[in-house]
Amino acid sequence: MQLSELERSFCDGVLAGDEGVLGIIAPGNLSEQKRLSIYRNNVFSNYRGALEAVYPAILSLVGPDFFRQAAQRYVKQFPSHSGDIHHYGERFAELLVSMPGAEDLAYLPDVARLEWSIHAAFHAADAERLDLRQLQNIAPENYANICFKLNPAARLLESPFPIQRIWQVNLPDYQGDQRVDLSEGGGAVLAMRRNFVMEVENISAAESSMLNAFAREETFDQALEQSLNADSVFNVAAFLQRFVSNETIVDFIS
Amino acid sequence: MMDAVNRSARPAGPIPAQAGIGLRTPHYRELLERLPPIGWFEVHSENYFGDGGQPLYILERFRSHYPCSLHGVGLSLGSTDALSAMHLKKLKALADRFEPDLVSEHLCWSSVGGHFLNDLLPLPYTEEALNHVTTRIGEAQDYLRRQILVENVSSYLQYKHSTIPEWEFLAEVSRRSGCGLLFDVNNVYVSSQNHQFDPKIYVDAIPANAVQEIHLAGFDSNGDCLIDTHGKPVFEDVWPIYAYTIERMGPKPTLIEWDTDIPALDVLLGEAWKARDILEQHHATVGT
Repeated sequence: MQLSELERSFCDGVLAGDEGVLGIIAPGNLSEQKRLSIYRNNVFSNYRGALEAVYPAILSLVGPDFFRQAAQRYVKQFPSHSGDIHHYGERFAELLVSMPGAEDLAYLPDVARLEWSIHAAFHAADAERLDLRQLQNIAPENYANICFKLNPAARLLESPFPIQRIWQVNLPDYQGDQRVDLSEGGGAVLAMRRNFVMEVENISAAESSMLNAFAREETFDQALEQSLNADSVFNVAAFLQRFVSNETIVDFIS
Repeated sequence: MMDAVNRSARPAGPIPAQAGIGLRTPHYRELLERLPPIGWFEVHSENYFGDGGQPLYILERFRSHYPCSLHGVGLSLGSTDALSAMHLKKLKALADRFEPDLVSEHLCWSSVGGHFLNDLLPLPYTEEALNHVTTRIGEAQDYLRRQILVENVSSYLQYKHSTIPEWEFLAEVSRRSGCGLLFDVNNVYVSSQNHQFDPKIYVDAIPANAVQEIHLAGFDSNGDCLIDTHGKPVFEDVWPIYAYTIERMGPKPTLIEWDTDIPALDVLLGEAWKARDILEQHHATVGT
């Protein structure tokens, strides 16, 4: 048997339960089925471990048994495509949308999207802080065409659910009141790494509109127009002051 | 935010033939506070493939105190798919940045048809597989512009059509490709129990001067089979095989791997000191 054929057969045996591979395993004091099942278990627990590391709040929300079932379904539907296991699990939110038994937890997919964003941002590139004084050197008539750049470790999300609160109270080390009032509704969320720690905060519709426009590389003028639609008294000077000093905005091209 | 690191302040030159430990997140803080007298440290390369953030910052800090080795688990050297250009690129960038003395991978495969099993799967020991993996190691070494070490893995099954004993296969891979060897004594023990062979036959077949690093770790048993989990102290029967290996090959940099159920730092260091004692005993015996 050629190596490529062996590898395909082994892979089908581990991932799809195909039994063809049993014929190429040498007999011994342990059955071929048992030997193959060790690899099935190892492979699955590696995948599950990767998912648990990225999705601690989902694990806490659904419990270990349900999470295991979700992970089993995920492994079947979304194979790993990288030798770097940190890439595994990006589409877990999609799985949770249609996961039987999760119908009453409509916020799960959005919490999963938040956790993937946190995972990605944790490993994103570093950026230098922008000095506010650099902005003061720009003539007011040139402001319209400035393109602001967001920190590579910043991620923007929207949800009809209070996902920041749901995420926070379901982290393993959270101490305090775990109740969440779903009726408080959702909105825009900024997830960002600051001093190596992931922070998640709710932001206003106008702030979200500005930051999303910057993420799309639109000019200051274009961004501002959309934000004023969301909030006609939007204080753009305070916005810039706040999101430059908290390192969400790290650069600009004038 | 990034510390300016003075590269000339880094320990340079070969990793000493001393005990080292695998660097794991729960120990970061305590290790940096105590800076224990370990000879070197090792990290899993893929844990530092990100573009920035804390992992790379921490690695810079450790690198300024100790020699380091990069140990990969995901290159899939034995796969019949093309080597991943992205994986090699990330590994090369990491090696260029941190200047590790040793870069290692496994004698195994973990992917086919674009699907990754993210596990260390055994190769059949055939002439075809030998040619294939030799070529692949050559490709990796050419790309990285350096020698790599290749490690023997634990296995839980053997293939009917294997024609070469694993120890001969490993020795021949090194001879043909010019790669060094990372000799995992625990993996030899685990496989020797699972497949019933004498571990000393394995040790005796390995060319001593190809071996540049040794791994020790703990395993678990599922009742039928020993499983290489890196979640326990080194098993008592593994230490005599390690001592035999050192006696035969001479002192080699020796790493304690502990990757699951990670214990207090002192427990891990205790294992490293056991290896250190055996290495020092050898020095004393041969009068060096």
